[in-house]
Amino acid sequence: MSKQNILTSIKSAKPSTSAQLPNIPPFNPLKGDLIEIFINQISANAATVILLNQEQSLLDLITQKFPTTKTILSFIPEIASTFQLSEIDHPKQLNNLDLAILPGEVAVADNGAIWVSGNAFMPRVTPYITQQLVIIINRKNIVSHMDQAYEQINLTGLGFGVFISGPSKTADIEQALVIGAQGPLGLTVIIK
Amino acid sequence: MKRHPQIAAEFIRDEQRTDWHNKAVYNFRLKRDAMVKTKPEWEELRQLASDIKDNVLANLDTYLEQFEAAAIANGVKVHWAEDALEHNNMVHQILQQHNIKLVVKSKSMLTEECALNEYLEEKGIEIIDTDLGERIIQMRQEPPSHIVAPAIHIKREEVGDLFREKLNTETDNNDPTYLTRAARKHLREKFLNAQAGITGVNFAVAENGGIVIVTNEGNADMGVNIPPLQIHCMGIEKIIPRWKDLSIFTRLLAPSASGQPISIYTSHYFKPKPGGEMHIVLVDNGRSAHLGRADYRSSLKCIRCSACFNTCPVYRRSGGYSYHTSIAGPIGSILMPNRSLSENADLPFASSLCGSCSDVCPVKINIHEQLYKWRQEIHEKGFTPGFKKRILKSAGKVLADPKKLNRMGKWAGKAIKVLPRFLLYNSLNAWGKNRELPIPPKQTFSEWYQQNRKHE
Ligand code: SF4
Repeated sequence: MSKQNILTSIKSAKPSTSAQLPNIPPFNPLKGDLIEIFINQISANAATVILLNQEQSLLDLITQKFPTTKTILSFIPEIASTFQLSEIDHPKQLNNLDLAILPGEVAVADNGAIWVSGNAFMPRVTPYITQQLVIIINRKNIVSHMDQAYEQINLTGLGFGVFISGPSKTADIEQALVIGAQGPLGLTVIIK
Repeated sequence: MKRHPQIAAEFIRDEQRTDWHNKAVYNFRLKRDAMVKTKPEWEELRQLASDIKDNVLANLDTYLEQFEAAAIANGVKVHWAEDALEHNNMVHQILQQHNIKLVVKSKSMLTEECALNEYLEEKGIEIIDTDLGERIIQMRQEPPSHIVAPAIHIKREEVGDLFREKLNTETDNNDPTYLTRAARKHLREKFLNAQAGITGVNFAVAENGGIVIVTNEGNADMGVNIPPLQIHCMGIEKIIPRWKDLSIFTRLLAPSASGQPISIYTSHYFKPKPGGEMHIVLVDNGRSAHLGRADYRSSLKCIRCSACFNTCPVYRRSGGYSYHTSIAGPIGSILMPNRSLSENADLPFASSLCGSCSDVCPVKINIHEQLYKWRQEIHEKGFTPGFKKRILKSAGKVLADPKKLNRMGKWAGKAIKVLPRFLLYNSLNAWGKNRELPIPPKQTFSEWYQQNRKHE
């Protein structure tokens, strides 16, 4: 009923000439090294970036960087979680999660955002509730602009996904920047 | 009811605070400018965003139906509400069906407009705002004064006092990091125990039924991803046609709002979480009526970035509350008279018509022209606020008569120099309130012109 009323009301109110939906042109790629630009952008948001060198293993790197971490939930094959998700029967039990490790699908040099797709196994709160977040991206998947990123995202069957560009933050008290608001206190990006 | 001039007059009585507020808000504008300068495609992006939104307004009904069908196919429950009451009722019903007592909510100007919090509280449901700024004003039982930075008008000492009272924080510790950590602890407990999460919506994609929520704190996502039930409330104008259109709007929103290249979280929800329920409430509440007003229709393109607030010399020096509505600032002054002309006829006059708002608007709304248009309509319909009527009458006489105008100009220039301060800065001269009048030129323009023309 309300639906019909709203639609009828819109039909009689909307302009009679239809403005064309514009084509979105491909934007010029950024000049310079995309990896470098990406690192600059996301570092400005207080993220830590590590370029993985060939001799180093991911596992070594994580153990080195987070030596005292007790609970880890990992969604990449190289690193094991410290507990089974089947032990969790409510997402709020992840409140004590120290570290979540997630794969990033595509990263945007222009603004430092990394796309993370949800999947059926990952509780959706994982990238937000964890104290520390690590995202692993492949250097081949760094693009210039948002339009390329949106184009690359695989939407098939997707229930949820997010662009993340740093650890959570706020400036709601007198515009003073505070890193670590309601989400992670830190973000580490590892570029393979 | 107090009108903009009275509330603004009270605000500027505290000169130091007015200056502080002005600078704090202008800081956003400066950061915006710095960011925009690094984007060579800025004007192209604005034009694209504006064109996309024009197309949305011309086809809003079709896109809404397309969106609904796609969302339903994704397993989402879609509701339609004609007005605020129906919206509040719907949200309450959903909560009631699940027997919910505690809800967490992220920032949403729509639920502010509908006064959802008050409605649910009356029904015995506890609702916690989880954006830090919003939590601060909720604890102070105040409305937001700015659409992006709701607590911009509050000083750190005041937050310190508030948290000492409500959260037992340390005496004399007003350090923003310390206070934010205290709020984080307090809000974590709410997130973990909430039985439902409510959010606003930044963009809704017609072609795939997805909705997008943008935050820096991660509070919206903490709120909807712990409990099984999530509810998203949106005005019908938030629709955009295509998935790829997001690549334009996400490049405009954060730079315009705060000068960040993009917010920390741009979250996209398509389907309910496994075992959960996802609801979207589409709200009209005066929007379709506004769409019918050709002169003001394009203000529905607004993406609520607040750039027009931050640049507005009137907003910066009169504060958000002087607009006495849920959406303040230049854009609120166009949208609100549509709701009730008699209650909001003062707002289109709360502007210097300098046009800075239109210059910064990322979707190219001709804000200052619409404000001017409202003034004319308000005058024609006889709603002109009393104080303006008196000024306009005499101004009308003077402006219509070139001789009189000339004499007045000369007289005013001399008068500023010779009149005693109490005559210039008295209650009849609104321009003398809390500001020094400019030093008048030695000649009027026509005197100068007369003199210099002779030399040609
Ligand atoms: S009117 Fe334009 S500048 Fe103002 S909040 Fe809306 S989009 Fe931003």
